[in-house]
Amino acid sequence: MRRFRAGWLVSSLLVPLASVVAGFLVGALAIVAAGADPLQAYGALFAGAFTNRNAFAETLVSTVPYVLLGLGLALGFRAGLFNIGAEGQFYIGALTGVFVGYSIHGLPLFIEIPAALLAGMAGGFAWAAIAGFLKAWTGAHEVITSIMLNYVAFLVANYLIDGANGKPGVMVAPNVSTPRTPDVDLGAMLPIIVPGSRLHLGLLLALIAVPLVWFLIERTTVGFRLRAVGFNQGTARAAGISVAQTIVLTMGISGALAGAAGIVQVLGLSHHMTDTVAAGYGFDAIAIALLARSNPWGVLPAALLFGALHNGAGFMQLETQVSSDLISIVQASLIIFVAAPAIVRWLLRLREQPVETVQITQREVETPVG
Amino acid sequence: MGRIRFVSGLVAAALMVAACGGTTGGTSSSCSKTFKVGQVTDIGKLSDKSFNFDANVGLKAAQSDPSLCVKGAVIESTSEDDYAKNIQTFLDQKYDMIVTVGFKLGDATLKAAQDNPGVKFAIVDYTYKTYPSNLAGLVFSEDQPGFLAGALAGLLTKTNVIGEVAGLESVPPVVHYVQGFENGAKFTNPKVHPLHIYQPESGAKDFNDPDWGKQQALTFIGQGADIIFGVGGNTGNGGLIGANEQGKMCVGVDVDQYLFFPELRRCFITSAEKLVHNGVKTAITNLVKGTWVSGTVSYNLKNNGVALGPYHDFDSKISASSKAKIKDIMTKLKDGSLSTGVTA
Amino acid sequence: MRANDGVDLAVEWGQVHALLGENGAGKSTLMNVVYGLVSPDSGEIDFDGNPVKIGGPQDAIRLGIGMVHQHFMLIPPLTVAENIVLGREIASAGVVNLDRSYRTVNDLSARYGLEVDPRQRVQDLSVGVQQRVEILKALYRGARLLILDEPTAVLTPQEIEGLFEIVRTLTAAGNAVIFITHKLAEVMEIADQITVMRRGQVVGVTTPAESKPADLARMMVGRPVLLRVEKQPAKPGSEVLRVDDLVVHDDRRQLAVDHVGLAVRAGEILGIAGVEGNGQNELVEAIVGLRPARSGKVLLEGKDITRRPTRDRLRRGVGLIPADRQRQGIILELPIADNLILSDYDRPPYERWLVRQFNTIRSAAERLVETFDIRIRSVDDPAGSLSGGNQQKLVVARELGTAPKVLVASQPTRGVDVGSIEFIHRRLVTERDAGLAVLLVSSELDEILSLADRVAVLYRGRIVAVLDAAEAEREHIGLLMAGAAA
Repeated sequence: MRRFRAGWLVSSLLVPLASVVAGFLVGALAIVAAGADPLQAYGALFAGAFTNRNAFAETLVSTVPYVLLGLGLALGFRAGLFNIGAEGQFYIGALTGVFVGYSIHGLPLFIEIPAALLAGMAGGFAWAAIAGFLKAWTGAHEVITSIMLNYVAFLVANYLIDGANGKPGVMVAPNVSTPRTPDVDLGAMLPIIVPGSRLHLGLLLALIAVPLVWFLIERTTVGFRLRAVGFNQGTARAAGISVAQTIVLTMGISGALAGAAGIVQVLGLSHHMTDTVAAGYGFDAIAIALLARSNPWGVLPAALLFGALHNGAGFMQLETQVSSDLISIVQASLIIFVAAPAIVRWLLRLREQPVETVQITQREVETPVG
Repeated sequence: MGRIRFVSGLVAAALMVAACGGTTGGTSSSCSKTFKVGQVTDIGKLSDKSFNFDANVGLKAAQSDPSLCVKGAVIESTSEDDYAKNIQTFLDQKYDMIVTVGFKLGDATLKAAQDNPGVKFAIVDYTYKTYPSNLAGLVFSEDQPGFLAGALAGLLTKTNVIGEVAGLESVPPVVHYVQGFENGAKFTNPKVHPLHIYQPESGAKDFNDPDWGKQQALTFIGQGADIIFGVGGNTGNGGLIGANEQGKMCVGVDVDQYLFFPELRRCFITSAEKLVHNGVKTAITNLVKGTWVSGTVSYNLKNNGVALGPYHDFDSKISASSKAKIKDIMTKLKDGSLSTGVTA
Repeated sequence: MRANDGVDLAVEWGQVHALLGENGAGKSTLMNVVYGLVSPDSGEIDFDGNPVKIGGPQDAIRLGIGMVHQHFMLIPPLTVAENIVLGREIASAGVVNLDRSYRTVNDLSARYGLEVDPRQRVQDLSVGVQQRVEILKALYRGARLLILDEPTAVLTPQEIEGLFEIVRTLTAAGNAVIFITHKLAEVMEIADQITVMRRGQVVGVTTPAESKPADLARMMVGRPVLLRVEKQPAKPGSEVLRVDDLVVHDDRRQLAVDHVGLAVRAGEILGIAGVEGNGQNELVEAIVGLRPARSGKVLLEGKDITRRPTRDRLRRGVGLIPADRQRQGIILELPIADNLILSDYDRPPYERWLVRQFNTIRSAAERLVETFDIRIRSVDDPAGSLSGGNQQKLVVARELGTAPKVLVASQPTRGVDVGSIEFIHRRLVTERDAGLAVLLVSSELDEILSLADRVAVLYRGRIVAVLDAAEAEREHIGLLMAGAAA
């Protein structure tokens, strides 16, 4: 639809790709420093992520929450909202969703799954909307409020599952040796789509979410409003757009996607929830959205990359004893390169197109008519 | 959020070596069969300064023992959903035994053990009601080293007041240590008055609030305490720091903390040690030697699973009769003629 | 000093050299070359008769070249003196000697008649005084050739006079000044030499004595330009917009609009004259609903809209050309088409079931582009790719395209080329004749006088006088704007 713009290729494809390569190079340095062979380590990483038995299915399992979370954050970024609270929204989404999931019984799966999903999304929406409200009406920065709400979310989950003051939590399952919620109803469990693996229907949900979020951002009035607010609040306001409402709505949708990631993870994998369910997915997703340049389609390969890293790390450690923490080094450094494209441009010897060229040449000078 | 079951703080440098170092020692050519043993950590990873780390020390010890013919490997879990997958990765590679660490892996370990009867499993700090024959739960009698350290404290206190700064009460090993310590002190000194406090649930600061720990120690010292037992990761370590600042005595936990806190050496009279590495190594040895034991396996003074640490700088300040008394208590705890009075 | 292929721009000591041209003619770029911010593809620069190479601002500063940019480069929370010495602090052993800094700045400002209080924070200063600080900064670094880039764009008439005094003092002391502008009147008043640029080329070199403003305008634009707006007397109809006893606060919660009352009728242009910062922005924002009224009323065709949200006011027929188009008028990153339907994006026919209708949007945009003579390649290009004049025409097109009942036009031709000014002025008069009520807010008195039918003078948030434009005298309004009793 839109005319192809020069420079698009560089900024949207080349820079992220080069950043990934540079990230792996930095990781290789760390591997050498630890006394191992980077080729061997990366070989094992690749095998563990793609070629071992069930490895690709497991990579996709890890990719699912990353896609949903990445989409949520990318959407927020487009409105200029830096939602650092995806981790907490993931928790709350898992909590509200799992509550519905274990409270309903005996209904068909096409009712139970959507019910639990919607509950999870509603939980994430509401939780993120708190930070949206605070930003819209008090000006409190969403980075601060959403990150603080993470802690509140962790503690809410802790309280509801683990309990406090010696009393068990209200959501804890009876007769389990470690604190966790009851399993969700059989009908709410996401079916396995590749027999013999853990790959569940969540993958399809994530894949459907990509075009939906793209459509929402690029083709609907809601998406237009959030982009307008993201680019220029002053102009948006002067054009009659309610900036406050847009911020709350955008944070909410962003949180709903994070909440969806949380409940999909529960319905697809563990079927119950503990107080450490997310363990950093929400923070990794910030990197994914950045790597994707906030483009929903870009989220897909970025999430796959992170899923592969996440999944391959175990086998890499088994084979080469290079700590799985290495992938954090790779992730962190590729984010530095994404965030500082100037470094990558320099590495690629790409020159920024001059904004305008002015030629000053000698020309016959008009004699003023005086 | 992660809750730390095992309660000490170790030095990061040692961990880096453990986390990044390659495999050393191991299988010699004399081995007819190499036993492959894998360890799966919980999300605390090897850098937890705690049981993940110490279990790995045991695995490495087994590996470097030429008589055992063990090849070890570890996978650190980055999220809760990885537990089953990481166990499966070892199973796919035909490992003979898998060591898992902590209650978080309880469900995944049991399921894997049931599905793979040909592979041995051992889980640290966790027990089940019933076990398949290829699964062992390794638990440690923290009350015993607690009791011994308490007995020593009872002998050394001049004010007859001692204090314990502890981690979460919902974590059983913490309570075992504390109760053992108090019972031991009363055993050698009926006049002793023990004071204890457990850290309230505080999320991210669980086992990791040294300021709070120090504050509690100072409060106890204000009430006359002259020995502080720090039992609770960095929270407990805060207690030790408080005791050291006030020139009082202190007792370390889990490992010989004297070695890891040079700046606090002045205060350590001893440490109540829990030798997870011995437990892990023993379990591996049992497999190799064909003496596998399933079910709950308790590690205590008798099988060298727990210990009272060295006295170090206090060695010269403790009278021969006191040392003899401690030795006597140790013997009696070992042979069962004396009980710590703590029920697990 | 000479620039580029040994011809074209020669500046002499003790003179004011005006560099005249429309926006985008290449004036600023040429000066950036001289200041070392842009490296030239070819050509050379001679300074004091010697060829020099200017690789960066440091080189320029060393040679004695100073530049005051259109957008000031000051750090608001620091004091005047701190800003001036920044980067070249008067310090001993790493500690800034503030007392000596204050004294040095005082000496410097006394020497050139640039009054500033070195201890004041820059954030508390008016724009005119901030500009003085910028000039002092350049002088402190030893500038003998001072480049002023559109220095009057942000100044009030009085401040402009003050600036001209300073420029004269500087040249009298033997310094040279390059004065970049697109305003003819200023050139006539201050310049000794004039170089006119168009599309990156020098098209004429002259002096105020040799050329009349109309000649300069023709050189700048490339064709004859009408400097006065032709218009018939207004035939006002019924009252469209009424403001009663309005009180508005500014961002710092200080009184900015102080019990203002005014009325605009259909078919007339009411001009609000005043030195900038006397409550114009707050008044405009309160009328369109971007800022709450503390008390008083805003009425549209007799209906109270004081508490209605902006969106509602726009729908009821209020149009807004904001003073700062990049901050409130357009979204540079979005396509031209989206900008042209910005306030109607969520209404049919541009929307159906929440889905945007791109074909309708594009054809509507193309119609507006055609009608308002916006020079573009494609309505899909980002608005940021347009020149300032075309951006402004885009805003005008959008606001008039919705057929409003009243248009609030705030600084409608600021930073716009002569051709676009001409176009926008003609358009406003045409719309007035077709029955539109126009509230024109401008700090350019010439614009007010040539467009408005009635003139209200705003001073410190109050309307101090309302005059019939035909009878209003320039001098009289100037005095009212400066606060002389009406």
